[in-house]
Amino acid sequence: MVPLFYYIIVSTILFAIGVYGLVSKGNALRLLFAVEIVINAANLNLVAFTRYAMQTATGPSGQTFALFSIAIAAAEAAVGLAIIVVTFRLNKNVDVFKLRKLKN
Amino acid sequence: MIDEDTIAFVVLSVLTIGAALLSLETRQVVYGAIALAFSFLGIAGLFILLDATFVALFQIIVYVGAIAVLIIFTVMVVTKEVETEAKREPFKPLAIGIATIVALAVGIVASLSNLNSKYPVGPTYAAKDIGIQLTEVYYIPLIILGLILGASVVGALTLVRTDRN
Repeated sequence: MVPLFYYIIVSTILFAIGVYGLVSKGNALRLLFAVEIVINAANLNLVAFTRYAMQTATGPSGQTFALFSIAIAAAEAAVGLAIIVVTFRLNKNVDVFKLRKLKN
Repeated sequence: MIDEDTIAFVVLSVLTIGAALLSLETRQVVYGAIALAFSFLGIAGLFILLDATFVALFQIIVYVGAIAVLIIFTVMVVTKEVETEAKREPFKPLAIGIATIVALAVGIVASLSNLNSKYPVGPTYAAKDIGIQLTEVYYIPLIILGLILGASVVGALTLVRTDRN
């Protein structure tokens, strides 16, 4: 088996990729991709710590939390994509650097 | 001494991380969406390696089956014909710096902390255990989660509604 540390490293790299996408990208769809990557990194940590935990008193709580997280990510993706579609309908693009209707 | 678990872990990690990077860096957003689906699949494989089969199935059904398809449809609706993405990324060096700092910070903290269990010592859980816990311990969050899902679907449909009259 692989030590727990490797899973943490993979999860950290995924999280850093998501942070990079969130800071640098302008396309709203790419921002949504980055959010999904960050959520996946968190889920990977939850499941990994469930597998490597010593105490059994809490049961599979980590996996249950991962299930909740996946379901909430689905809800968030639905609403986010709907907002992107509405934004495209109103502004003809989804570049967040060009959305300045509320600025003045 | 390399066993098959390590090989599977390395392959799945490379697939996941590479697909995640590719999903942000492809020229066309459609290819990015497909790469994101592969990244989700890699995460599901890692879940199977961690003996969380039910979570892996859930991940495949919800992420690859629902979210990725939804994203691909939205990309097809939103993107213009041959529009390549605007290459203007003013914050790219800052973003790389922030991501590197975050990765280094978490990695250093994780390597300095003495993780007690380097190798799995706990039991593996079947879908039955998760079901029992969902219905006996976390039943109120489960109901709230159902309400959230229903409300989000209704909200999404209300947002994209067009009046055809």
